[in-house]
Amino acid sequence: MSQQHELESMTPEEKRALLAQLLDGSAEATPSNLSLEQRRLWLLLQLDDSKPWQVSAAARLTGDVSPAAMQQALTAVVQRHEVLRATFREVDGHPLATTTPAVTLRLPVVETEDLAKVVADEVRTRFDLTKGPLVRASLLKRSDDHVLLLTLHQMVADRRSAKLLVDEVLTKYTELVDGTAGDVIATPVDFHSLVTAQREWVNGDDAAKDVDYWRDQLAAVTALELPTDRPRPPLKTIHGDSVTVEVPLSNVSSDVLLSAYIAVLSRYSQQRDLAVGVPVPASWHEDGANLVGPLENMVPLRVEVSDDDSLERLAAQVGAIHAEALTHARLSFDRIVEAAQPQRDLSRTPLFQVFFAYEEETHELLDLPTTWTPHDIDLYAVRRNGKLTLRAQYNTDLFDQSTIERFLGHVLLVLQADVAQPLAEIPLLTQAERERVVVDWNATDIEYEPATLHQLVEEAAATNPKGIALAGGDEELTYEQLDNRANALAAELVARGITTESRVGVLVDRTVHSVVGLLAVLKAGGAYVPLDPSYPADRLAFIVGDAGIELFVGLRKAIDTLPQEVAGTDRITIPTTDQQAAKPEVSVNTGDLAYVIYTSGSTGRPKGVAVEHRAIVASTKARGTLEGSGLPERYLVLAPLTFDAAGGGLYWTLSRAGTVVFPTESEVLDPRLLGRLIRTRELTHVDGVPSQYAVLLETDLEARDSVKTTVVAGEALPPSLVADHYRVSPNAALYNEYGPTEASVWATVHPVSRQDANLPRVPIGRPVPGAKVYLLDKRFNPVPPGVPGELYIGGDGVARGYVNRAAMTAERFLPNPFGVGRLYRTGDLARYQADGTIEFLGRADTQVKIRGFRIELSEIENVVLRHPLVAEAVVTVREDQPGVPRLIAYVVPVIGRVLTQETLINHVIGQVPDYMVPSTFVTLEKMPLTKHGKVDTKSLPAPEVIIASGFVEPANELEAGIAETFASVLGLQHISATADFFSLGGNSLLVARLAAQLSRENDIELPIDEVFRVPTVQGIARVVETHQRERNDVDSAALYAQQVAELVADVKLDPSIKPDGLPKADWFDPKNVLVTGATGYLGVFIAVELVKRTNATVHCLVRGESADVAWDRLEETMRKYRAWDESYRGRIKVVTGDLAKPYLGLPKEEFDRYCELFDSVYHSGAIVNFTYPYEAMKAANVLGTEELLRLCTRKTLKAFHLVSSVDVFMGTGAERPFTEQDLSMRPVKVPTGYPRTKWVAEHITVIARDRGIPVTVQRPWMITGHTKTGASHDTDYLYVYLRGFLDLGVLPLYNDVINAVPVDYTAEAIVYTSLREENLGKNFNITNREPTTMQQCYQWLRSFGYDLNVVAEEEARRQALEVDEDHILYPLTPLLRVASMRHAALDPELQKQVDPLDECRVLLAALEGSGIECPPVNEAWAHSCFQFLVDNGYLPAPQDVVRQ
Amino acid sequence: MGIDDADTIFQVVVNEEDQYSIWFADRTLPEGWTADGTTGTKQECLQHIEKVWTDMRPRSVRERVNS
Repeated sequence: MSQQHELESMTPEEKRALLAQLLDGSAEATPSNLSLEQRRLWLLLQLDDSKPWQVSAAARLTGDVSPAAMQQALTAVVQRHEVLRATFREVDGHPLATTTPAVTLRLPVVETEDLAKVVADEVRTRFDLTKGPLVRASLLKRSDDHVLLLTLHQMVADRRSAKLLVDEVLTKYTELVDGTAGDVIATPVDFHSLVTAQREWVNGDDAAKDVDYWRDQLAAVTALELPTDRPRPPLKTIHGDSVTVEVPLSNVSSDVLLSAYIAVLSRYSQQRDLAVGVPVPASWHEDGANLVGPLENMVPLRVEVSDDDSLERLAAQVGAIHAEALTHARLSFDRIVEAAQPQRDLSRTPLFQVFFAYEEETHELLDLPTTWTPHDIDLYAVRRNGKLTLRAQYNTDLFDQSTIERFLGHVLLVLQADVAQPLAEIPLLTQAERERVVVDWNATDIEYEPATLHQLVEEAAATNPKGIALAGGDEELTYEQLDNRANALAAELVARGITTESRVGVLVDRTVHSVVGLLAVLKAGGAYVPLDPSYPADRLAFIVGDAGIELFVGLRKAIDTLPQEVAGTDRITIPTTDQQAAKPEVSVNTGDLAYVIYTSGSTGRPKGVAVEHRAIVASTKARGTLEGSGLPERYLVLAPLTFDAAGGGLYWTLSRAGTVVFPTESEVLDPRLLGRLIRTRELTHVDGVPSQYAVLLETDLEARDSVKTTVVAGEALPPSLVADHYRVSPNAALYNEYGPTEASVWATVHPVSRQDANLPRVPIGRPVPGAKVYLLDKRFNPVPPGVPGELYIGGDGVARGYVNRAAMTAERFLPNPFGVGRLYRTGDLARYQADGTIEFLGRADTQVKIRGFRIELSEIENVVLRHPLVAEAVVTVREDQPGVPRLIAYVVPVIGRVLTQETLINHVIGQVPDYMVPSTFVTLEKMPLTKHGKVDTKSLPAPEVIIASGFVEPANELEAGIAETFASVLGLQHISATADFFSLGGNSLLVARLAAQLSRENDIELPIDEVFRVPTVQGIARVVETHQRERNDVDSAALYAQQVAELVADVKLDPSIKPDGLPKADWFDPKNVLVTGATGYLGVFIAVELVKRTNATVHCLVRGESADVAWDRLEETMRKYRAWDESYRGRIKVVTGDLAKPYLGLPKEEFDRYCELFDSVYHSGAIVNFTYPYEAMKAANVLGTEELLRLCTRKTLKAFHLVSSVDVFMGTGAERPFTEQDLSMRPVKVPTGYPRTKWVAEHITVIARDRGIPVTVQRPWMITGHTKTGASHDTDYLYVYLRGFLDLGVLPLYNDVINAVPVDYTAEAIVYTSLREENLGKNFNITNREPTTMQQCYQWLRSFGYDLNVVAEEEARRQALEVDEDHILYPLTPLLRVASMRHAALDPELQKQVDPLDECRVLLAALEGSGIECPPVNEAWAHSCFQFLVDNGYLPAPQDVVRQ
Repeated sequence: MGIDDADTIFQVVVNEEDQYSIWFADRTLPEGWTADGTTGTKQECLQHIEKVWTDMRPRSVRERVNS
């Protein structure tokens, strides 16, 4: 590896990876004159120069000291050891050691009293490896002694070497001072011969054997999990300090010291199999002990501690292990790591995290202050001048000094105990400490009146009868209602024979009625057994039998759906209407059974915890301690009533006359709804499982200001949640509760502070009033602070026991040797902090908690094992994704049989509640075992959740995004688009997270039940689409309203434009008419028609710089369309003006003159462009209309004929038939561009009409060629289109209807109708009663001679969109780009359903008797049109079209 | 001689409410408990209890119900 130059180009990540590799010790040696250790260090140095990488040693000298002699001694010693004269540099990518023949090492004399500061300075002062010398020395002169301090770089010396050197210098000094000179010290072997020997050995057989030895020895070694005071940093740190204690014993061997250390480590970690590192002196040469250099090796000693071991026995065992290890200790530590292949973990050192060294010192060496330390704890036992001390160097990021002091105290206790006493029996407490732990920390007695549980509620009801006791969904019950209904039901229960000790199954849900049921049972003197009617029938039947349930109480619906299996049990419905009833006369004692709650049982069957009134009353009374945060005014009970956790908030609130609020099922599932409930009900207390609360904080982002107190319980409270809580709700108190059902809801509580977020685990606090908590070891000895013990609970809340389980009750409810009554053995591990606060550390057995549900893994295992094809089963909790624990079942089938996941799930599903069904079943050939023959749970494979076959890739971006969210929530890599969220390990908590995330990402409100309904990526994608569409609809409605408002805003007419009192012009026999748009296609023919049908002079509004130019344009246009006749010359005049300008761009007096002159106005002028925006045409088309109407209402009242367009329909998405009524003010589609101008103009005309101005609205359809001349509009959309596609050599295949109306008919119709009084105020659609189709048109094109290449519409469109700027189709490309060329209204199928008459009835009636008729279009007409276009050069002649 | 060791010897004990339990055979009885005379491994003691403790109601409750 030539790493040096590569290192410089490495990213920080790559460097970290290489660093990890090197820390694990796998640096391969390459030819170099460095030893293996030097080589490894060299690379480490390149990667991480933040560590000091140096070692110091010091000795204290009393009496007179000669600095000169000391300097001389130092020089001699440095000269003796070649390695001290080495420097290192990189040559060609390789580190190379260079040894200088001589170095001068100065020995400064420093006067100081502050050794710590000197050492700290030493650490800060770094060596330059290329310069050397890599050793520094100083003589510190203190007031009453001297200190010789040597500091060396680790490339040249290890800790042992440093001490050796100090020793040598002092020996030499003594010689010099005493004059006993002579070569007493043998010349050491040369360091480089050692390097060579090392190299040879490493490649030999012995090394290979050692590799095998360590691989075996360290198989599956686990990290030492010492309980730390602070969270372990993810990247290991080296910050250190030390604590030293004297051992008041003589004659204690190093093996005994090490064994005592191991015994205490085992007690602290609760691990029996652990590894401790020990140093190995260099053993390459006979006199290797005198060699200086980085030689010291370390090996792990793996020790198994048994409960029966005495210190004596353990020491013998440790001694043997140590001796054996030393025979394999030539293999360097990095090679051992490589051989053992431990799980890589950058937060810890590999293989061992604690270290032990025993040192005997000849000279009085000084303990220098510790500034850094490599491991979690390094214990140095040092014998010096006959005194033995223990010096523990510890990582200050993990431990407090007090913890280490206590730890050393415990080591001393073990050392001082009888060496033959079993280690587990050595109490680690003094009498005073024991008193504090057992008595002082359990001083929890409180006084209260004994009462029954229902009495507490009855008393509250009496004080606050009208207050709301319960609320849930839409229902509420006052205390009076609750009490009366419960009384009535109780009376009925009594009548049915329910009495003391009778068990009544109450079918509970999340409605207020359930509590009526519970309370009624208590009032009747019986005990309730809360049951979830959705339990599997088997489980329900078991509980009914086990508890001896005599009667069911429930809502009608729940009772009716009870399974067949429990048909034999009687049932009563809970009253849901108000009752008037007195409390039945029943005497209930506080020792009577109040309820039985079933929890997971290890035998495969649930077990019923029997709780007496006195216990739950004590538990409820104890809640007074929480009152600092206010009374429970409105308390949210999140836990189902089948769990005792619900009883805390329920009874506390009901005993204090507050309101208990139950969430609905959907509110429980969807944290956003829950948040809403909290806000609308203004809840003051919220109580739930931490994971539930975490999801609430994560997904419900609005403040919940009403909440004064949040209580979490049921599982470990992650410190991060504490931080989140205080960030979101800085003013709400947070309580962490702990307590099993067997201790009646709670046993300890911790008021959580903000600072607790910085702890590795949030404490569970101290015993609640009336409760006693003992942390005991296996011998029933209380454990001292810091040492884990099993948690036992005594006091008032302890339950009666397990129903029908005498042995189990006797085993778990033990005599209390510290007081009275019984102790419940929880099976939980905990430890005290120094002040008595308790920290929960986990389970001592296989019980787990998932989402607050207490689960015995063995219960599930037993259920799985009942399947006839299952030979072995192990159920574990895996947290492959942090924070998402999942139940995984590992199954070995009976030999030769195959089991599918489906089979197993179906087998389990009917027998355990949903939350106990493993999310994945993994089939194994055999279980992995430890060397002790137990199932090696750590070696169980991670479940392979990707189903190899049937993997469906996401189909689109939406699905891919959703799949990604699924994967991140589930902690998986790939998700099939069809895979079920729940079969992949999803649960209701993860669903909440999923829904929240998907909602955020897709910007929709995704209800949780949708996820339950369609729990696949595909399914959710459909839901998201639907929601987005709906939202779009809402959005578009808003958009539509806004657009319509904008559109309509332009529909306005100057109020001064009105007919009031004006003389009427001659509308029906006009002398002068004005025509606009006469240089357009239709305008030409209107003008001509007016000439023909009237005697009027036809004035045409034409733009032009002069009248002559304007006339020329007009005449030219008329000629072009073969409409000109010389006879028209006198009849037609031009008005040079501009529609787009006020007063038509005419001088005021001229405008006024025209106002007097004209009789009527034909307004066909407009800018016609399908690609221009509305604004570009508004002036001419809209404002021009207003100006003309102004003209019509000046001087005289003139008739106004607006030539509108079929586009007022086409452009507004109007439905066929297009009728001749006024246009709606709310078009289906808001028109844009040209159609919009016509739509607005029409509405303006209607305003004018409604003011009394005589108008007609003429709506031409598709104006096509003249029936006589074929004159066609060369710039018409259709022709441009035709011409363009003919040029491309293709025609798009489509079959729209073409309602072609010859221009002559159109003009005739307009003029004819305009001249009749009865038509004023009417709208006319000028259509063809016999429309044709595009296909027909293509036919005519073919018969005309064009060789057509009809291609798919999409292809034609594609080609059209690629045309160059100068192509005739280019102006149409914006249209083609945004829309299909088809128009829905022109669908031939639709045409069949429309009666063409419906679209032109008014016109046809008006034309009746006129002889004006629309001729059907035919081939001859079409050909004449094509010919016109060819003749005018607008279309290529058929023979000129080259087929491409 | 830990509580979970297979060879630890226990004694069967009973309190004023006729509730059964087990206790280390070599230790003094906690206050309020008397030995019923049975000793053995935990398993043996629990088996004995399973046999004799058939009415698990506390004595006070039992007596009141029966009276």
